[in-house]
Amino acid sequence: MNKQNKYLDPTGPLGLIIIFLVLALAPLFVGPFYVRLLAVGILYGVAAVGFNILFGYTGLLSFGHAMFWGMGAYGVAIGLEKFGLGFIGSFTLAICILLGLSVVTGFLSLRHTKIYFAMLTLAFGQLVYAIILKWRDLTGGDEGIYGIPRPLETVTNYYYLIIAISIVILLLIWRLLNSPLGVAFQTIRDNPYRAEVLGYPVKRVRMLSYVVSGLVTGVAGMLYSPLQGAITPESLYWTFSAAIVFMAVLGGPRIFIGPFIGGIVYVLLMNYAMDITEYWMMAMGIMLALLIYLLPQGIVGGIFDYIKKARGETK
Amino acid sequence: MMSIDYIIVQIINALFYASILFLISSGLSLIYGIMRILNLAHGAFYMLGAYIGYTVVMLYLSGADCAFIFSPIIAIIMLQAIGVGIERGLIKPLYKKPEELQLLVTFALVLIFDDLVKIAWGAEYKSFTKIAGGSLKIGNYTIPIYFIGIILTGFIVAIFLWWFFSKTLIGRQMKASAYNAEVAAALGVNTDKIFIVSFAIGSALAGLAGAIAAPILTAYPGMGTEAIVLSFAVIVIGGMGSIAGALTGAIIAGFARTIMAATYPILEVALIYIVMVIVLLVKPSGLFGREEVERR
Amino acid sequence: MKPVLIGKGLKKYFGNVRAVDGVFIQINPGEVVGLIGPNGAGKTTLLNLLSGVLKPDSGEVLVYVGGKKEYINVAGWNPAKITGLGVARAFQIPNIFENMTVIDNLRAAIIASKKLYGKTLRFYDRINDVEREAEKLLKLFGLIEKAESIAGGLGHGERKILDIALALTVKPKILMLDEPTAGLSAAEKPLIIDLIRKLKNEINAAILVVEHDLDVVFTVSERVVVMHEGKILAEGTPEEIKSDIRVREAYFGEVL
Repeated sequence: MNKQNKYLDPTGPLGLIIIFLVLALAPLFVGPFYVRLLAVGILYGVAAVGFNILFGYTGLLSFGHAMFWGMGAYGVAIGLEKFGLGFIGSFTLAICILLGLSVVTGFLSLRHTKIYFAMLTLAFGQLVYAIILKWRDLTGGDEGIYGIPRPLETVTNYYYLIIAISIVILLLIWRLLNSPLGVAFQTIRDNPYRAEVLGYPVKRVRMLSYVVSGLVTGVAGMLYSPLQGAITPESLYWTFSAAIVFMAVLGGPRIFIGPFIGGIVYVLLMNYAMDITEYWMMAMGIMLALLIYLLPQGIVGGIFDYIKKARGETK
Repeated sequence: MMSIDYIIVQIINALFYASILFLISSGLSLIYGIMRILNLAHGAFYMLGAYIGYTVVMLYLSGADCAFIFSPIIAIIMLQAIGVGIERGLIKPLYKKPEELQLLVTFALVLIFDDLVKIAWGAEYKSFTKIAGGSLKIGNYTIPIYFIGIILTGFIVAIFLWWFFSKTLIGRQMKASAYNAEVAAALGVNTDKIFIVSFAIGSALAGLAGAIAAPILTAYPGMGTEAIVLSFAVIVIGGMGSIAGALTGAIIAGFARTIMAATYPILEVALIYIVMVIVLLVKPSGLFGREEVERR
Repeated sequence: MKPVLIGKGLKKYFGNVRAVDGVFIQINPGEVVGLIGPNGAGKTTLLNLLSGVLKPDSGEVLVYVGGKKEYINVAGWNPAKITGLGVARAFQIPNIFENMTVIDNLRAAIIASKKLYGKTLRFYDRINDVEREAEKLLKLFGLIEKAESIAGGLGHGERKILDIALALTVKPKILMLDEPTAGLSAAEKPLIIDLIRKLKNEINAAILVVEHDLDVVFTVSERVVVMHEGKILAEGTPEEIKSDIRVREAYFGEVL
């Protein structure tokens, strides 16, 4: 049996450590613009990993994950700007909102699976968007909230805080997904009927997966609004939910670090596209389409397949 | 405030909105019902229809009245071609692959088209300087006769679709295929052809909606993303795969929005999604479910 | 010794079709029983009634639980609850976890049977009890070579074996096999026969085998039950059944 140290798994902690080492050294080589860009990429990556707990591991495609990201961001923003809470207070407020949101929407959405589940998550996502959009007094309406302060003042300092928090979160999630509960997720993904017959409490496990998934994406969002100093309802719109799906699939949903890499690559691609053309959305769309045809298992998935082929291994 | 003429105008507003939504949603429902594909780019087809409409009416025919007849026709023709081209070229290769890839490819198209129209037409909103037909005076209010034209168009298309699916051979084959693709294929239905026709009709409907809505709603990049998510709400409420469902859902959406805009603007956008959630929780197959597709 | 499982007066009609029409069947501890019959005789339906996949229109499914009560009627129960009482079932179309490795499949099943899925602080593959059992099962089923292979990539015969292995993780009192040799090549069938023999020796469970392949059934079974048109036609040792005229009529009458 394969008893090597699990922490040395390149698709897990080892890979994460390496990537984060590179990321941590980045400010020495690039200017503040790119540091902020990478910070966004890291947060997108964490959000995508959160999403993938539900999608890649438990087999449920949510089309409303932007609501967790957005409400995390708005929760912090509202706490700081409207209620005058400090950072700790605002983060706590945001977590409470996220917990309530994930439990309620999870309970209702998980009454179904597959397409109806996806539609329910889409509906909830748009509902949250609609509420935030119209609640001008609290949320600033379509202009959003701006002037949000940043912990530790500078982008670079905050970047390191983001790295620290992200590593901890990702390692915790990795441990969770490699625990018996993680196995429960996967059995329910692969064969919910057999899983139930074997004794897994399918509904409860799905609910747990949904809530954890929402919280992780939400925490990433929480760190986002102080980074950018502002938040708008765009972050709650369905197109961002689609972008999160994109990041997870782009990176490789079958592998733990896949979506994280997907998030970073997404931001880098977007930046590259913006550099070469004002029509960067089209460039992104073309790159996405190419990836779907050429690398359907995602970047990390593709790399692993290539390594396996090079080693001459079959399935 | 609640005078008869005000009510009539609001009803016309609601029906106008509902007609456009119906055209878009029936196309989306059709494609989903037969091919089980959620085409996120459907909104982009709507947008293309709007831009084509703008081009024909404003750029080529300088707002002549007859242009308003030509533009929907041209939009239908062009969107059919574009739709089929996309289905054959981009979606067909993904039939056997996981569904999320199909979904993402249509999302990629949304991104591409949103910029494509900027390249071809510029990023500004394209408004029409005139609209065919005069105005109609209703009490203290006037509305363009064009609104009535749109409502009539929706009505005619609804009847056409009803006729198509119950009286024509290919229409009935499509219904059979929606109900059970494998059995239909076993009975000799050419599913490939069915897919092409579905996508053609679906895209044409979206293009038609865009072309006739553009004079009122203007053509602008990104108009598809709002349209598509509203259409999702409509077909979920009405029943995915059902034309009657698309009609009913669109009417509900139209009235919900109009009523809310006049009474509780805060809920104007939210209400339709609340209804969507309720329907999904109570009867997920929607008001007309899948059985209705067969009965029609 | 008391029978492990008793089906009493079981009936299941599908409209006009009397799939199971008043069946009494009894399985004793540790015995291997073959259930045969021509197509449409109702074998799989009976199996489904006994394992909770279908709810009988009437009749009882009694599972021995010891103690004062002795038997509990599980007719119409949810399959997961029936499994909890020691009635396990393997499927004709292998029902495995396609994207996980073979050993992870086993670990998953063992974790479920021991109710360890809430343990978020341990690694799923570093729990001694689970590992020991997984190894035992791998050895018993000859799957050691394929332990780290993805289940989805296994050959049909191996998938069936894995399916049966998963059923065994609940340490059942009775294991039901639904057409284990269906779809297998001539080379693979002896594997199943061997497996059933091994199982009989190694585990303490009774085995009920629904089968089409008469050779296989007559080789492994101690007792054979024949169904025809929803009813029990005959019961006895393989020799008795082989020479029973009514059985021949039932089968060959079908062919003609």
